[in-house]
Amino acid sequence: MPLTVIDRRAALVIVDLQVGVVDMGVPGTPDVVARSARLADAFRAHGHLVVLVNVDGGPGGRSDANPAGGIRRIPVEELAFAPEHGQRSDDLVITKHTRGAFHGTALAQELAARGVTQVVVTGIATGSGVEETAREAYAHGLNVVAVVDAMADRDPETHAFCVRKVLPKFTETATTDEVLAAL
Amino acid sequence: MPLTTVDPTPALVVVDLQAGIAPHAPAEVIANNVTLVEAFRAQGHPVVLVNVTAGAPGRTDQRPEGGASQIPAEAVVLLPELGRGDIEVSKQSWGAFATTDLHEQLQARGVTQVFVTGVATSIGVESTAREAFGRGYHVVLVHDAMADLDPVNHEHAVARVFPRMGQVAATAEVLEKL
Repeated sequence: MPLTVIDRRAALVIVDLQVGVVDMGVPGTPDVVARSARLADAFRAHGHLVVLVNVDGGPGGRSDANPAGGIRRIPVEELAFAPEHGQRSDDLVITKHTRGAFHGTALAQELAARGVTQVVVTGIATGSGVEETAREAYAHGLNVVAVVDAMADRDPETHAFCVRKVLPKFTETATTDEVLAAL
Repeated sequence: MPLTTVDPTPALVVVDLQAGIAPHAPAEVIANNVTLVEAFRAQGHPVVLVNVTAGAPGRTDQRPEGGASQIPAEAVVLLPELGRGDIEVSKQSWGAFATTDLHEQLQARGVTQVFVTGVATSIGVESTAREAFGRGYHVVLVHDAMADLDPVNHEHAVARVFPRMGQVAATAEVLEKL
């Protein structure tokens, strides 16, 4: 499906493109960083908000992947954003403590205060922080655009499945070029 | 991977087993939910019944026009065979936490672990599990007490998504450890 429209007040939300994540070697990372940076420049040029999100840990619930549970802390030196973003003082920085950028942060209030009605989401990983942020944004009543060529997952099958079957249920999926053309 | 632990105060969270949705679920899935509800009740553990009364308004590929969707009153009625919940919440999005006071109600009872069941696996159940994990709960996904209109979505969630945010278990295993 094509992207229908960019709202008058939209925000680009870049999820977890921080040193510790960019260095994990997820396939496709350089493209994700470069396309997110292109989008950030274009959003700024159009007066739209850019939100840089990083993560400082993970929740402690027991899971099959982590049967003993326990909160995971990410070292502070891994929180810095990839330099390609060209972070500016009027960008909004959100540090989250779980997968989604909304829970436990001021993001919803910050967006509401600026009258933002649409978020355009990129980052790593597709099936974790990006999908969770998009689900949260949708639950908050926002329009959500998932930029499918500006996100990646360490499991390429998870990425492909999300793009084809999951994200279309709660987002408008689009490419970087489609978003740039619609701005 | 097995269910390693049942905490002293777990809760069962049954998602969207209501008149307008539950008929799409296989009879066995409904039966497993009824069995779990009765088992949690017998142990004195809280049973949470969740229904959905509206959908979020955002534009999507599947609903390009967007706009909030109201669900008719007759379609939000919980399945009678579940009985009454110790906690009952009505949500207006997919997950049981985002638009309700469920977290506060669970915290007030000292709940540290939630067992999530219901429909649909990749929608209401998955969003509820994600929200619970993010709020610090131990999450258990009872895979044969949930269903999805699209079996491929069910399989993906159970095999690839849930193991990263919870422990996946069958009804029989939960009953054995409760």
